[in-house]
Parts: sequence; structure tokens; C-alpha cells
Amino acid sequence: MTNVVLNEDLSQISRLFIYVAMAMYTFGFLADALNLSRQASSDKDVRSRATVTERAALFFTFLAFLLHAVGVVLRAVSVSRVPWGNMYEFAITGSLVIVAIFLIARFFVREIKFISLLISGFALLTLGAATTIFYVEVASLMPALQNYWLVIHVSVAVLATAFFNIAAALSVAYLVKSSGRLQKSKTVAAKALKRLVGGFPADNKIERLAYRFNIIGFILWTFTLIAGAIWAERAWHRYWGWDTKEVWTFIIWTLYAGYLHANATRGWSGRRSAWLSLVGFSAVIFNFTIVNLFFKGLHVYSGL
Amino acid sequence: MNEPLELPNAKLYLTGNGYAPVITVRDASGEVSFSGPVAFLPQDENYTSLGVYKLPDAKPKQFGMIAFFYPTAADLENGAKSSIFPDPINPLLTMNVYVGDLGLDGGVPKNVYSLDISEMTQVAGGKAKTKGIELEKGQTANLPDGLGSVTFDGLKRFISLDISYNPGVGWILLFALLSLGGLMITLLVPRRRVWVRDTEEGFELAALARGDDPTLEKVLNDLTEEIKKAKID
Repeated sequence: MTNVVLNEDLSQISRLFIYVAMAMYTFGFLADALNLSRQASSDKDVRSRATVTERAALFFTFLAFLLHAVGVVLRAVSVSRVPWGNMYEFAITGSLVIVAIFLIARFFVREIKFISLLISGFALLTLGAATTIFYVEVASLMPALQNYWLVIHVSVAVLATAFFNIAAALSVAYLVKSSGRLQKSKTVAAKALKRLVGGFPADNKIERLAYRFNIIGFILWTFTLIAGAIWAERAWHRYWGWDTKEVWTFIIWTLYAGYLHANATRGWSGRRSAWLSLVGFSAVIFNFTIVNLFFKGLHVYSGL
Repeated sequence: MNEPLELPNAKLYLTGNGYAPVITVRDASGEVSFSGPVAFLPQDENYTSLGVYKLPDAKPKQFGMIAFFYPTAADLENGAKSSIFPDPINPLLTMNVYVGDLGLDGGVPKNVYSLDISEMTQVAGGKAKTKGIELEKGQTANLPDGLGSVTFDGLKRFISLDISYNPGVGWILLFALLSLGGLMITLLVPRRRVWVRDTEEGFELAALARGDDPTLEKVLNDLTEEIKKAKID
């Protein structure tokens, strides 16, 4: 084992960057909310050009992303390894990857900007939970994690989670937009909401985007599962042992497989498969939070 | 610990390790009733370890001991002991002594790492009159109740190994990767059919996609252009 240099002071600086990033995400989130509420309150077609609020939201989210990235890099330096050895590090890295993929996707598929509120909101929530509940001081890795498979297995898991997350946000938007109850309702709030979702892309466009993010997530998740099995075979002398995390990873895989089947099945595509996409993503969140903190198993790396 | 040792046709895994303190127990007349190492199970990362000694042949009566071993012992604020470093810098062995039926004579196999004290009385440590026994390396202490004495002679280490032979893993990996490949092809490569029919009036083109296929129209248009060009030529 090489000498590991730990630097708690640097980690505190990293935490400071994360806090400032959170403030910037908050501004981005508020600008997004303002932008959406303007869309909801005016009948004018405000979505054709980038409005001031929309540009402000993008600016703050991008600034937050840069600060967030510095925070993650500093944390990695302070522990001299990849920044995903415990729950805190996984949360800050995971949310960074989500925002990164969203910003890249925004570049290629412009319409996707309509879920930016959900993305900055989720990043804010994750960082909030990470800095308050999950934070642990810098520490070396427990022996079972000192392996190059940590880099492969976990980084792909982070990517898969990010794709699932964006797909889930799209599914939420789709469910709101295609809601039959919303179309029938005559209340003021419903009217405003209807104007709001009127600015979203067409139903089938949102659905297709969600599907694309989910299939990439699913492929990455399958790879995570296989890579995890290879690592388990080397570290724990069996490739599958019904460890709680293994079981939950498999459950998530099955849920998303169900989603893909639903999409290919007449009568199950549309709202039903959007619900399945959300069920799958809640299982991902459950796997990360509840299983990590309260279930006993070999994947106990939260450091709490 | 993270890479198994490759043996011909098998893999050797290191699955655990710990300390095995060596003790000698003498009865009141000085005769040795037990001598040797017993493997202790580590309880934390500083190797605070728990072990059990069972002495069915001790005179005048059989007894057992539940022992803790601290490689580097230190006192906690609440008075309890704890190990603060995994290496044996200040090794300490503490024991609680129980007399009574060890339950070994029934012929039923028992766990060597635990002592069933339901039929036993504690004579040292806890609520008993005699305090629990604490031994540093080389020290000897008298046992209560005329049981004799116990000496902490030395320290040995143990490792647990697992040898496994699974000829199927390579195949499982192969098929897992094949299904991953199949999955990628199914999800990422669009399936479509394109017809060209040669009729009296000219060519008729049609295309059909399975599921979502955003480039279908473009493919059809490109093909139409190509056929038009070929016809002109």
C-alpha cells in the first residue's frame, strides 16, 4: 500500500466550495422557478426566445456547477484517491455528474431545458443532505475498497444514476403534462399549470427523451452489476452472495427491465411506463439512502 | 487481501485474521489442565477480540472463560477497556470465569466461539465477588473457587483461508457480457424495414419502424433522392 496523505483542512475548504455552490444552485433554482411562473402567468408566447430569467438560471446553475466541481476535486485531493469512497463523497460526486450530464444534454437537445428546475432542485437537495447528514472527515479507504475496481464499478454506477435521474425528471414533467385530471380541471391553479406545461415539448417528445435517458442508464446499470460481480468474486470469493446491496441493485435492474418492456407493450407505454420509470428511480434513491444507512450488509461504506 | 492467490485450478482467498492468545491453566495441585492457543474473533478494526476457553477436564470441576483480548489496551472514559491499535504493543487479556455444566458431554456439537452460560455460575468478573482476571503477557493469576491458576504465555496469530474452485465463473462472465452486448444492440440499433416497389408509374417507397425511430423519415428521403438520381443517370 502506498502512503496515503490525508488533509482535513483541505477537505474543509472543499466543503466551503460546496456551500457556495449550494447558494448558486439556490439562485439558479429560484431563477428557474421565476421563469416558469412567468410562463404560467402570461398567455404570451414567452418560450420562443431565451428570456432574462432563463439565462440567469443557466448562468447560476453553470457557476454552481464549476464551484461544485472544484469542491469535488479538492475533496479527492484531500483524501488522495477517487472521491467516492463513502456516502458523502458519492453524493457530491453523483450530483455533480447529474448536473454535468444535464448541461451537456442541454447543449445537444435544447428542449430539455424545461426540466432544469428539477435538476438544480435535486442537486441542491442532495448537497444539503450530503453536507449536513452524510459528512465524514477524511479517512483512508477500508481495505476491501482499496482496489482498482472501485474506480470502474462505482464511476459507472454514478453515471447510471445520473441518467436515471434525468429520465425521472422527464417522467415527472410528462406525467404532469399528460394528466387527464389537469386537462379537465377549471381552477385558477390548474389553468396556470396548463399554461406552464403548454411551454413544454410535446408529450411524445418528452416520453421519447425519457426513454433514451433510461436506456443509457439501463445499459450502464447492467455494466455496474456485472463489474460488481467480478469485483465481488475477487474480494469476497463469490460473484453473487445475496448481499442487501446486491439484491437491491438487482431489484432496480428488474424494475427498469419492466419499464423497457412496458414501453414496447401496447397499452403500457405512456403514463404507465412513466410511473415505472419513477418507481425505478425511487428504488435507486432507496438503495442509496435507506439501504446504506439502515440495512446490514457487506456494502457498508457510508462511514457513518 | 483484495486479490486471491491463484493456485493451479483454484483460488486461495484470505478471508480473515486475528490473534490467538496462548494460555496455560493449572489446577490447585499445579497440574496442567489446559495449554495452548485459542483463536479469538476480532470485534473492531483495532482488533479488540472475543474468545472463549472451555475446560471440560479441569479439576475439581469443569469451567469456562469468556475472554477479551486487547492488542494495545487503553482505558476508556467510562472505565471500560478498548484496543486503540491493532498491533500488540500493550497486549492485555481479560477473563470472566464461569463454573458449571459446559454442555459438552451431551454429544451435541457446540460453537467454540461462544459459551452457553445458562447452566453456569459466574465466579469472576461482572457481579461475582472476585473481580475479572486481567493478565499482561507473561503474568499469572489465581483463579477463584479453588480452580487453580492461569498464565498468559504468549501470542500467536491466525488467518482464515478459503480455497475455491468454480469452473463456471468464466462462462458466466462470457454469457453476462454477451447479454450486455445483445442488450446494447437491441436498445441502441433501430429496427426498420424499407420497401421499394417497381410499378408501371415508377418506384414506390415505404418504410416501417419497430418502436421509436427518429431517423426513419430521413432514411426514406435519402433513398428516394438516390433512386431519382440513378433514374436520371
